[in-house]
Order: sequence, then structure tokens, then C-alpha cells
Amino acid sequence: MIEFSHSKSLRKGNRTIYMKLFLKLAWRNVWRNKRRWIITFLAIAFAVFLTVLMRGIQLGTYDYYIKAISGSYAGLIQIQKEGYLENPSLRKSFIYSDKLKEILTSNSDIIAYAPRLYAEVLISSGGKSYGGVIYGVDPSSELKFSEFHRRIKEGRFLNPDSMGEIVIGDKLFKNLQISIGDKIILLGQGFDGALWDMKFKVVGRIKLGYTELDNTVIFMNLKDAQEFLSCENRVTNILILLSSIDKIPSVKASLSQELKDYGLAVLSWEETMPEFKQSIDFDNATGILFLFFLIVIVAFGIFNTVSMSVLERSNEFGICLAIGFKNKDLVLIVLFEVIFIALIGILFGNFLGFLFNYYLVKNPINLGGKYIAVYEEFGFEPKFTSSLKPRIFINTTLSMLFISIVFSLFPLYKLYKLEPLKGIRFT
Amino acid sequence: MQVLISVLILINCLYAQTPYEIIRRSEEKIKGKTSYGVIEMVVSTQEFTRTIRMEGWWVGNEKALIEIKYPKKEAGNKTLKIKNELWMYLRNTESLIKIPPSMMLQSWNGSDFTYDDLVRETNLERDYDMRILSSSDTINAALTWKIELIPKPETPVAWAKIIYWVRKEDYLPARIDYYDERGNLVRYMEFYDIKVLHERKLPTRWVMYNNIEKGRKTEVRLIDIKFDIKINDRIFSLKELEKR
Repeated sequence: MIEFSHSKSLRKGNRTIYMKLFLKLAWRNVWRNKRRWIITFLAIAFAVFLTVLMRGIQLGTYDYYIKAISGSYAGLIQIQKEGYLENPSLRKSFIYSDKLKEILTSNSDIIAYAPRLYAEVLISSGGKSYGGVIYGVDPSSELKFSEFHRRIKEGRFLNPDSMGEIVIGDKLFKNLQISIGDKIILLGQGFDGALWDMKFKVVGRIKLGYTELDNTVIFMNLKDAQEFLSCENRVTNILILLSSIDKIPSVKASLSQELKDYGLAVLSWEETMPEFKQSIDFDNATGILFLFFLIVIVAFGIFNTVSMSVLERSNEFGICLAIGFKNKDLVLIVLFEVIFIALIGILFGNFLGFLFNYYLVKNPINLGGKYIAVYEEFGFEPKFTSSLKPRIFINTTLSMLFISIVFSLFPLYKLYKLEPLKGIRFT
Repeated sequence: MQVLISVLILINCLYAQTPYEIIRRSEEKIKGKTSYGVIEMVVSTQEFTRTIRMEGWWVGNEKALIEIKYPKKEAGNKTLKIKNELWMYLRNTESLIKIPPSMMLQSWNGSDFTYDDLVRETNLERDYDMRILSSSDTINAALTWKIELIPKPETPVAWAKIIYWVRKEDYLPARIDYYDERGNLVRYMEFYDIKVLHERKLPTRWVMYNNIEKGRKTEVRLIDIKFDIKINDRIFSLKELEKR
């Protein structure tokens, strides 16, 4: 058997020349049957665009929700005494020292922080009494930090110099059957374990949107709470907002280091609000599953296109083999075709997705209508925004490329096994 | 006659062997039908130790009144139980507060006792099935019966299991273990310093150990206690609460 010497001598030569030739062949092959490849290109571009858009909206909206919720209730990170999370109690409070304030103020990534003192008490008026939770807050920090002052339904929120005043959750307020200006009695167990009771004036009714809180929450000035519960200068939590959600790990690590000697723990919102984290994770998983199906459908399109193009060119490939092309050279050429078309589609899809995401980031959509219920329920505006995180684009690109190649493997294998005569006689 | 008496004693002894009877006698020994007492309670935690002195009146499981005498800050605060309602009179604000049922199992005054313990809402004989686990356990060098108490189905009680040790020689309680639904030992009480007070022999130092938060305990010292005395029913009223 005599081998075609031309190909053999070339093969010994510069490999890059070959590659250039193959690339050129592949590129030309793509445009030989425009219609088929354009359909594939559109399918890939559309899938990538949709993926980038959906991931962007999901991640962007999560970030927005995380910011909105953690702002009022948990902070992006918060400082607690070690062990408070498992067993919250007043005895696990800590001194809110000047040193601590200094540490927090000196960190440039921290844009705001709010000390809080939480404690369970009994609230009573007339013959009615209910369990309640004191939110001892510093009204001046809360103005920068939370949305509480915007949730007042009646009366007003606490002033920085409020004394003996409280703001009560909507439901609790109604259960107690009181009105603004009434005096109520709080009974609580102080830091020293002693039971203590005090009268407070109700100055506001607040609706936060969380049933549990609206049933129990009692806002009072931090100073009042400290006096009532005999825990001078103590707080149970310090909530912290950062300039960006991405800063959480680094700030958490550095604060943890600094505060370890004080017996304090630094926790991120995922740790303090695990249910919220779970619902985000669930929604995220649903979204990813949907996109996975989308990509699989596109992948079958790719499979179809590549199979057809290989089958259609059986005759041509047979001749190529007969004049001395190696099977693997042909495989390489077709693989290049797939990668070309996938890359063009991916680039186009990413570009389009980027434009849409960019628009949404700049102009978040306020959901009206029936979503107002969400607003009521969760106490923040239901917004629809997006994200331009690089990982959205990178992940989409890589998974699309990967799946395009994987789904071309079978037709490529057939091509690899093709014999010249079978190819030539293929009809 | 002698035979008859000895038979009666024998029957009595046999009868007393049922766990229900043992528990009943034991509870009766430390609670009585009615009682009046001056009690000191010492709550010790890692952070603080607190002593509260109080005076209390109890009539069966129905009524109870407890008044704080010391520390000064809380002196005059009273807790009143009438049937299944629990009220607190707070001296500082001169107000009456009804404790909602949901709070009955919470810590009373920072101690390891609950409101429920204090007012004896739970009736062991009515609410629990009992069986003797062992008749030869020794607790603090005293031979005891070890009795397991499992709540009767559908009975809303605080504990999923109670192990109760009763001293054989005098039917006094020696130790009580309290378990939650997950089978964890939450707290246990031991009884010490058996003395005779007003012709009645009983332990005068009860210590409730918190098994969840190690190092935390509440000690109850009976300074003075009288049983089965006549108590004026009038003191168990809301009006009386506010009067003094």
C-alpha cells in the first residue's frame, strides 16, 4: 500500500501551517451552508442571551433584596457575642465600647452600623398582656441604616432624644387595644436577672410587614432599653452595612480577627437569616434548572446541525479520505466549525445580554399591581433589577461552549470512523 | 387484733409499692394540702448570683400567692395563681399583669424554675403514667425507688419524661430528672438537708441544676414552712393583691 506522499511530507513539516489551513477550511465550510449554520447561531445566541439576562436578573435582584432586608434586620454582617446565635439572651450581650466604635469607624468598607439591644418582655395594658420583643435602637443611627421610620402607620418614630417612649408593632398595638399616647407597662428580666417593670408612652404604630415582628416588636431608645434591663452600655448586636455585598468575606475576616479577643463573633447575613438564604438558594436553583433545560434544547439543535452537516458531506469527506486526508484532520475541521459558530453565537448573545442587563441596572423596574402585596408582606419595594457580574458572562460562555462540543462528539466520532468508499458511495 | 393490724400494715405496704402511691406520698410530704412558707432562692449563673427571699401561700394545685421580700428593688412584687390564671402585681408601676399561658413554661424571675413549677399547675398523678424502674438505686447514700413518668397521651405537659427518685425510708423525694421531647436531660433537682420543721420531716435545700447551661443552678432554701394550716381564702384575690 502506497501512502499519499504529499500529505506525509507536509505532516512532517510545520504543524501551524496545517492548523491555519484547517481553520481556513472550517471557516469556509461554515459559510457554505449559511442557512443551517445561521439557525444554529441564532439558537446559541438566543440561549446565551436568555441565560445572561435571567442570571443577571436573578443575581441582581437577590442582591437588591439582601440589601433591603439586611438593612433593617440583620446587616450584611453583624457582631454578636459568641454563642448568641444559638441561644439569644440578654446575658449574651456585650459592652458597646468606644474601642469597638473606633474599630468600626476606621474600616473604610463599613458605610453604616447600628447597635441594637434585643430582649423578650411582657407587655401589658388593662387586663391584656402579650409577649413582646424589645428593639432597643439608637434612633440617629437607624435613620442612616434602616427603613423603620418610613414604616410608621400612625404617630411617629422615636427621636434621638426620646425618653420613655415606645413604638409598637401594628398587630401588637391592635391586640392590646390601645391608642397613641397611652401608657403601657413592660415587664422584663434584666441583665442581673431581676424582674423589672416600667411604664412607657406609646408614640407610634409601625407596620414592618413581617407578621412575627408586627405581633411582637417594641421599639425604644437604646438608652431606655439599657436602663430598663439594667445593662448599662450593653448591646446584643451591632448591625453593619458595607459598600458592597462582595466585601462581606474580607470585612468579616478582618473584623473577626480584631474582635476575637473580645469574645465577639462576626456573622454574615447568611448565618443570621438562614431561612432567607434558603429561599434565595431555592429560587436560584429553580432558575439554573430552567436554564439547564434551555441549554439542553439548544444542544440538541447543535447535535442535529453537526450530524446533518457531516452526513450531507459524506461523499465529500469520502473523497478527502481517498486522496489522503486523515480522519482526525477531518474531525478537527468539523470541530473548528462547531467552535466558530458557538463562539460567534456566544459573543453575540453575551453582547445583547450585557446591553439589557446594563439597562436594567441603570433603570430598575418597579413592579406594580399585584406585586404590591409583596411590598406589603416583606416591607420593601418589589424591584426588578439586574447585575453585570463577570461571573455571569464567563459561566454562561464556558457552559455553552462545553455543551456544544460535547453534543458534537457523536457525529465527530462517526466521522472519525468513516471509511473512504463508504463515504463516497453514501447517498 | 394484732394479726389484723399486721395484715393491715402489710396491705398498706403492698399498696404503697405502686408507683402512683409512692409519688403521691412523696409529693404530699413536700407540698401538703395547704402550705405557708418563707423561702430563699439563690440563682447562680456564670455571670451573677442573685438571692431572692419570698413568702408564699399554697392551697393544693388551685391557688397560690407569692410575695417577694428581698431584694429591695423587687420587694412587694406578687405572683397570684387562681385556677389556671396567673397574675403578677408589680409594685414599681402599681400594676397588675396577667401572665399569658404561653409564658407559663418560661423562667420565673431568672431562675431555673418556671412559672408552672411555682404554681404547681402540673399534677403528676393526673398527667403521667408511671412505672418503677429500679428499687435499689441509691441517691446521696439513701436507698430509693427509681420511677419513670411518661405523660399520658394528649396531655399538654412540659416534659416528655421525668425520672423521680423517692427515698425508701421516709418517702421523701431524692432527685428528679426532667427530659425534653428529644430525650435530653434539661435539668435535674436534688434534695438535701433533711430537717424537721414544725414536726414534719422534709428536705430544706432543693437545688435545680441546669443541664443545658452548665454551671447554672437555682437553690431553694426553706427557711420556714408550715403545712396543712388554715389559710384565709380572701388573700387569693386580685383586690387583695393591690391592697398591700
